[in-house]
Amino acid sequence: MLCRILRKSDPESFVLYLWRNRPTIVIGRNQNPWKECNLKMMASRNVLLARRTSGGGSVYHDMGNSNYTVVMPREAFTRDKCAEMVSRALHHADIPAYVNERHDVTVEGRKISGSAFKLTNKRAFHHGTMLIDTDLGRLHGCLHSEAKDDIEALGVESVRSVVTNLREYSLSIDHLTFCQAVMREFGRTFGKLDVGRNVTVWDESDTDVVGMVEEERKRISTWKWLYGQTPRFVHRFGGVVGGKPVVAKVSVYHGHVTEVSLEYDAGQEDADDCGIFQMISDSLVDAPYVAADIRGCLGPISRESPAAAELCRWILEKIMEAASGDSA
Amino acid sequence: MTQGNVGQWQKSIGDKIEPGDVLVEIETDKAQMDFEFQEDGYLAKILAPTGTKDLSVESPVAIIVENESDVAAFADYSLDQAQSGGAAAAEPTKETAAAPAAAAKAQEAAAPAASTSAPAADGSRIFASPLAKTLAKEKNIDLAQVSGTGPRGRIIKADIESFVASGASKAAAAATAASTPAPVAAAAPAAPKAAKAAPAAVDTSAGFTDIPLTNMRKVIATRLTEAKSTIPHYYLTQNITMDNVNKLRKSLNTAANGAYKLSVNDFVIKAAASALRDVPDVNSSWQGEFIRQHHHADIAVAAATPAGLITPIVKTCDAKGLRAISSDVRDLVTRARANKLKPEEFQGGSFTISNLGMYGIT
Repeated sequence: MLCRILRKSDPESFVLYLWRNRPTIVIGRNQNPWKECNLKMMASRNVLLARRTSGGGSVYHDMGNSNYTVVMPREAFTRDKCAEMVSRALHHADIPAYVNERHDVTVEGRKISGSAFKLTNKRAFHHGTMLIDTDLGRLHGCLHSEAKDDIEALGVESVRSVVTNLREYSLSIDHLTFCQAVMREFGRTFGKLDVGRNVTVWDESDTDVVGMVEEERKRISTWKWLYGQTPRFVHRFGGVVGGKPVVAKVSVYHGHVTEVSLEYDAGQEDADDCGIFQMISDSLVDAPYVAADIRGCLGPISRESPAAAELCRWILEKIMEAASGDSA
Repeated sequence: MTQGNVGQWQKSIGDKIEPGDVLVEIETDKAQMDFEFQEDGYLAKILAPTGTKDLSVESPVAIIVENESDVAAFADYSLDQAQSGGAAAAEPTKETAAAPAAAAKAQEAAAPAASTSAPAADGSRIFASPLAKTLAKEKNIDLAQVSGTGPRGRIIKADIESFVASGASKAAAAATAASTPAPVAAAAPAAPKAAKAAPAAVDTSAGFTDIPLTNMRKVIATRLTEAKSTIPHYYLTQNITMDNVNKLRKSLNTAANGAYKLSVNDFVIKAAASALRDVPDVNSSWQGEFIRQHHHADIAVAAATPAGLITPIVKTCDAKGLRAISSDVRDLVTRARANKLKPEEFQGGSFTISNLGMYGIT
C-alpha cells in the first residue's frame, strides 16, 4: 500500500497514512533476520516476519502499536520534521515527548517510536511506530536472537534502546485518539486537512482495496524477499563433539548456504574426519538456511557413522538457534 | 551525508546501463534510497558489494565503461591497481534535489584496454563527469565554455571549480539557492532562504510604538507563562444563586453603622476558606518530592494596580470573620496600589480569587 502511495500520489502533496497490524517483526531493507530476530519464538508465538523497503532497524508491531507514515515531496524531507510533528501531537495528550539525536520520539529518555525513511527522486517518506500498549515482553523476546553474537553479517544492525509504552503516561491514549491527535497536528503542520473530503478509512473488509495490493502482498511474502534479500553473512559457532573442540563456519548468501568449513580446534583431523567434513559441506551447499532443510540434508550423512551422527546432531542444534524460520 | 551502507545491487556485471537506471540501493542513517546513474555505459566491476558498511562518500563503488568489450578487462580489477595506475580520482557527490541520492561516483580507469579512440571534439557531445554536469547546471555554466583536464579531455569537477573561480560566472549565487535543500548538510538551510525576496526594511515612522517593560511586567509575564505551561489546568463552572447571600450582606451592612462595608468578594473569600478547610486536598501544593498540605486558608486576592496585576494574601481566612476579611482586603489593596506591600504579603498563598464581577464577567 505504501509503495502505491509513494508512486501514485501527486508529487507536491503531503499524505498521512496511519495503520496497525497483528503481531509482526518488521526488519529493515538490508537486515539479517537470523541475526535480528528469534525466529523460533516468533514461530511458536505466531508472530509474522516482514521486510520493509525503507532502511533502519527491526521493530515489533502488534495491535498495541500504531504506525504512521508521511509521504511528502523530496525537497520537504528532513529526518526530524515528522518526528517533531508526532511529538507535538502527543503534547496535546499531555505526554511530554521529544525527538532525540537518533530521530526517535522519546519520553523521559525511553524510546516510544522508531523511524525509518525512504527517498526517491521526487518523493520521500518517513514512517514510524508508536508504542501505545504493546506487549513489551514479547517485543524483547522476539527481537533477541540467540545466535546474535555468532553471526558476522554485512548489512545494517539494529541499535537497541530502552523502550516504554505511552500507557505509562496516559490512561486515555489509544489508537484512535493517537490517530486523531496526529491528524490534527499534520493539518497544522502541512496545511489544511478537510476531514470530510481528504480522509479515508480502510479495513480488511474493503475487498477492492485489499485486491489492489494483493500482488504487492504476495511479492513481499515470498521467502526470497524475506530471507533471500539478506546480505552475505557467516554463522560461526564452536562446541565439543566426541570429546574434541570443534569450530564451524557456515557462509550464507541470498539465504542459501555457500560454504561450510569445519575444523577441530587442535587441528587433529584425520582422513576419516576430513571425509565426514567434506560430505557435510557438500550436502549443505545451496540449501536454504532453514532448520527443516538443513535437517533434511544432514539426514543421510548422519547415518554414515556414529561420529558423523554426533557431528550432524550438534550442527543442527546450533543452526536451529538461528534458523527456525519458515521454509523457502 | 558523509558515509553510507551499500544495499542490493540492481545491475550485474556486463549489464547495459542507461541514464536513470538504478545501479544500487544505498542506506544512510535509516534512510533508504536508490542510486541512479545518469550516463550510458556497461557495468564492468562492483567494488563495494551488497552489505558493505560505512563506506565514505569518496570511495568508488563500481566501474562503468563505455564499451561492452572493455568489461572483461576488469574481471580481476582491484582498487589497489587504481591507486598506482594514476587513474582519474573518484569524486564525492552530495544529496541535492536535482541529483538522486548518491553515495560515490563510479570511477573510470584510464589505463587498461584503451581500445576506444579519443572522441573528436566536434562539439556534438561534451564529455563531462556526472558531478561536473550537476555542478555546472547548478551554477548556470555552459559546459561548452569549460575546458576539460580529465582523461581524454573530459570535464571534471575541478574544471568547473576553476571556471567559477576565474570569475566567469556571476550567476552562481542566485542559481544555487533555487535547487539545494540537502536534508542532512548543515550549510544548506541558508540557501533556499536566499531565493526568497529579502523582507523590506521596516518603516518605523508610522504604525506602532515600542513600550519598554518594567521589571514587574517582566516578572508577571514569566510567572504566568510558567504557571500556564508547567501546571495542568482544568476548568469547572457552576452557577450559584446569590439571593440569600445578597440578603445577608445587605442586612449585615445595614447593621454595621459605617464600621465596615462587606462586599460580595468578602463572602466568596469566606466561603472558599470554609471549603478549603473541609477539603484539605485542595488546600495543598505540589512540591516536587512531596505534597504540602496547608493547615490554614491563606487566600490571595487579585488586585489591579497601574503597574500590573498583584495578588496580596489574606492570611488565615478560615479563622477570620467576614468583617476581618473585609478590612484586610481593603488595606492590602490600598497598599498594593501605592506599591507599599511587603514581600511576604504577596508571596505564598494556596488559593487565589480573581473577581471581575464589576465588569459583568462571570
